[in-house]
Amino acid sequence: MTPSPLLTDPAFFSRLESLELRARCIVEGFLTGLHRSPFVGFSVEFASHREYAPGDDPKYVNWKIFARQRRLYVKEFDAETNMNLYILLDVSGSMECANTGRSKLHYGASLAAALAHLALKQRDAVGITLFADAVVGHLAPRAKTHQLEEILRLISTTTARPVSDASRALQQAAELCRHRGMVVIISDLFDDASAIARGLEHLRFRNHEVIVVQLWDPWERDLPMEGNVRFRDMETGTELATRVEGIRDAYREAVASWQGQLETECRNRAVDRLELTTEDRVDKALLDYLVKRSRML
Amino acid sequence: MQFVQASFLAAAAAVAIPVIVHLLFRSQARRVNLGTLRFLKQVLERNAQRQRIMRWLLLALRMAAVAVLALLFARPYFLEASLAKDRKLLLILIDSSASMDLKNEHGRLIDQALAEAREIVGEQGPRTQIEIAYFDHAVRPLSGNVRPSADAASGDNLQSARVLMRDLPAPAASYRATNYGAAINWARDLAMRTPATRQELHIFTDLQQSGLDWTEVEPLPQQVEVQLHDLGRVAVNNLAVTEVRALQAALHPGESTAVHVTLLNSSPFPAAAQTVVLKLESGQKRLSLKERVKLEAGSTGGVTFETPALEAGLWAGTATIEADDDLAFDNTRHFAIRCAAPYRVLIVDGQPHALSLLSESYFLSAALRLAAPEESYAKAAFDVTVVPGGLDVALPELETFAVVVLANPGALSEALVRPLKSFVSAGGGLVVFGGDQVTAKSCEALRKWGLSPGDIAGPVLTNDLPFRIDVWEEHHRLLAPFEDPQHGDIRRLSFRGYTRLVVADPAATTSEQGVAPVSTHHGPRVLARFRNGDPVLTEQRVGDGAVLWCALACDRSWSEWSSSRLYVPLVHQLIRQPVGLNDGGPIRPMPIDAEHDASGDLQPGLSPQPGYWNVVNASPRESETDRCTLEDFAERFQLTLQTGESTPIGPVAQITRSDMRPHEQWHWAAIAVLALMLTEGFVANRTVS
Repeated sequence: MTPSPLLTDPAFFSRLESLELRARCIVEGFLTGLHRSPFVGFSVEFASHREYAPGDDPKYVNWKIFARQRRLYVKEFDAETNMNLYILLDVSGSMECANTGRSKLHYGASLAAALAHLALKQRDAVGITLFADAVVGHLAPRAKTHQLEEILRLISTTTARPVSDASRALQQAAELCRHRGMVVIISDLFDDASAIARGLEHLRFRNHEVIVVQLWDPWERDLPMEGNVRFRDMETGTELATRVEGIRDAYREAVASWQGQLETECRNRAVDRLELTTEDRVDKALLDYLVKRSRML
Repeated sequence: MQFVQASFLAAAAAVAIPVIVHLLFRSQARRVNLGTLRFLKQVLERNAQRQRIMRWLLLALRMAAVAVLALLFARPYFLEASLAKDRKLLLILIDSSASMDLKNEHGRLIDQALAEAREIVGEQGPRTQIEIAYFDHAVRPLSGNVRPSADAASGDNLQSARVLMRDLPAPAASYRATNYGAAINWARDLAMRTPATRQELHIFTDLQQSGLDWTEVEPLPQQVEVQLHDLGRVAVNNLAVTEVRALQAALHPGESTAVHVTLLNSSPFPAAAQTVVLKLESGQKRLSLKERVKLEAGSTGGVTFETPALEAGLWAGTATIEADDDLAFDNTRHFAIRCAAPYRVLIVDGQPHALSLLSESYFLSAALRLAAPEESYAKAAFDVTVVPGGLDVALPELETFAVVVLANPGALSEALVRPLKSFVSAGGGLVVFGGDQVTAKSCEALRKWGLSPGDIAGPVLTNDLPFRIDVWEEHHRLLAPFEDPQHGDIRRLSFRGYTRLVVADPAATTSEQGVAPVSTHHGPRVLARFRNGDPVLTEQRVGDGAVLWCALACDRSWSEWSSSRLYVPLVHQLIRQPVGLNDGGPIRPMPIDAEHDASGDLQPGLSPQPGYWNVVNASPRESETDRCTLEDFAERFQLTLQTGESTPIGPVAQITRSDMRPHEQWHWAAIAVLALMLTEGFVANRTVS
């Protein structure tokens, strides 16, 4: 897979500068960030005083108390620390569907890169997991500055796998996401809704905030074409010829039914679900979602 | 079921096309990649059974459409149950024109024709419908006697036809001309509407060339086998009088005239010193003139007879060429000369004046006499007498007059109108001109006695725009000469006033164009109108006579039309109308043709009619005995002649003609194709392949 121009587009990243990604819950971390931490640390939110111990930074000594009591105390703050952002990107064969010019994998990679960049800008730890029928690549969360390069390299060097098994892959990915954080799943989720639900269940069991970004190729969702068409399954290679006009309505009903089912499963597990097509702009979609999330917080 | 174009049935093999198209479409369907086919499979599995049925139905519809399309082009037709199958139509046309009275070594041609026709009828097998007709200038079918009767069960009329032909007497000599076009049209109509697998037409004729070019004829259907039986003689010795024309058909007593006789020698040999006799007869008076004339072969010639002064009366005449030729019917030709005094016209002047120029009738009288006052013109058609009008005027004896003219009549007493009514009822003519004295009151007596077209509203005058004649019956004999504006444009006449006539029944006398159409009703009929719709000229029949009203004044009081060039012809036409001169006069030629001889019993001679005589003569065309060839005949009527003997009828004759057969069913096939295609479209839109 070659890196898309968008991944290295400065304009694209600069548009993301204005965004702030705030985790909805407090996560533990060891890097100082903009997120509130349950652990006391050095930050701008004062918490309490304690007696000075060797090794404490002298700049945190409260000299006014020392002047009054002749004892050294240092200030303690609520540490604003990082969150762990786990990006789970589906690289199965179905993600290569590109009927309108851009594949879902391409779109998902752009989205993953954008999220990683955002998180790293606010010193959150970002990791990425690529999955198809199983986990095929994993990069543990880091808040290092070159983490973005690592992530991009992993994405660009990974090829799509023919078959997906989202349930199994999510189970494996949940095991890899050890620390509590936010999990963003970028996939078309073309699997049984109950199987996907099991994977989500596992992630939620580990107290992750889970966001499902479901990607669609517009033709997959609406079958807008006309006439006799020979359809090919990109994962199995099976073909099916039919006249679209005769089945379009029923097809849309089937898709809507499945989406409804998926929506129900997500809602039952407090999982946010965002539905995007490859024709939607990545940054706009991301912005809309983050705005929506910030209002919820 | 039979097919006109059976070879098109091979196109039914095209039912394979839908299958091929289906396969082609399958291979040519464009490819689309989808991430998953799970939804597609769900949908297809759900409707699989229904769609399978729909696909088979769709395939069946498409194949049926192609098959019916092939059927359509094959043009199926039903032979009329068992009756039409292997049925034969035999048409026999026997020329009964005057030239068929010609004799050869076997007798008259018409007798030979009948004998041969009997033979043909006798040779026919069962299931043959026979139609027989004589023809000359028209067709006289004998089918009324040949209709299926006792043998109706077999669907033919063979026995009836045989009986008819056996008992049919030979027709007497006729004077009628030949018209092959009428005969071919009759045969064509029958051939078109009679279902039969085989159709034969036999024409017995002498192939007279003059019968070829009469009318436009549609060609016969191609399946009709035509056989021409040429009975004519190669050379015919015929001398004929083809025209007799008196230089003056109407003479005044004591006048003489010249009669020109046109002769034809249609034989291939010259006729030397042939005697031509002209006979005239009027009552007990007889006149016979002879001339000798020499005629070259195949040429026309003429001789002119100078008659002596003739006394009054109708002179019936004949011109005869005394020749012992083959055809006698055209050796004599009739004509007539009327020798009578000019028609007497009585003008009742409503405004007489001591100075004749100022009197009402001055211009009218001069126009009818065709001479200035104090002068006379010997050949004038009318002898005019002018009397002053008025309540106490005493009219002269009207019986000696042909027409009475009331010029701007003032008050008319009943004592004056009563004899007028009797005069008109007996066949006389009454013409009334308007004027300032023509009012409802003054004409009350005329209205009361039915001599007016309706109410008289009186004079209508204008000081600004003049009145003009706007519309008139261009085809009425009175006004027909003015149809062409170059002969005088009636619309250019202008009038300062007229007498307004209120016609009693406008609905019966006017049409959308404002002028009554030609009709035979006896009520008043408006022949011309002003722009405002008021009548200018009306005509009505009263008894045997006619009454004409002219809303214009005949003098110069309301216009200058009396000094226009239209005045003389117009007033002449007005006076000629009640006399009948506009309809052809007292002697009217009448050729024996299809128009005048519908019944077929017209004979040459003088035929008296009410008010006139018809001079009946045979058509001169029949005297031309030149013959055409079979090829000329066939080319003229686009026929394909049969040369061999007739062949027996096969079980089903093959028909490969391009013309439409009467029982073709292609329209049903077309409807079926349309229905199938509509259904196919409906099903196809609801079927998943």
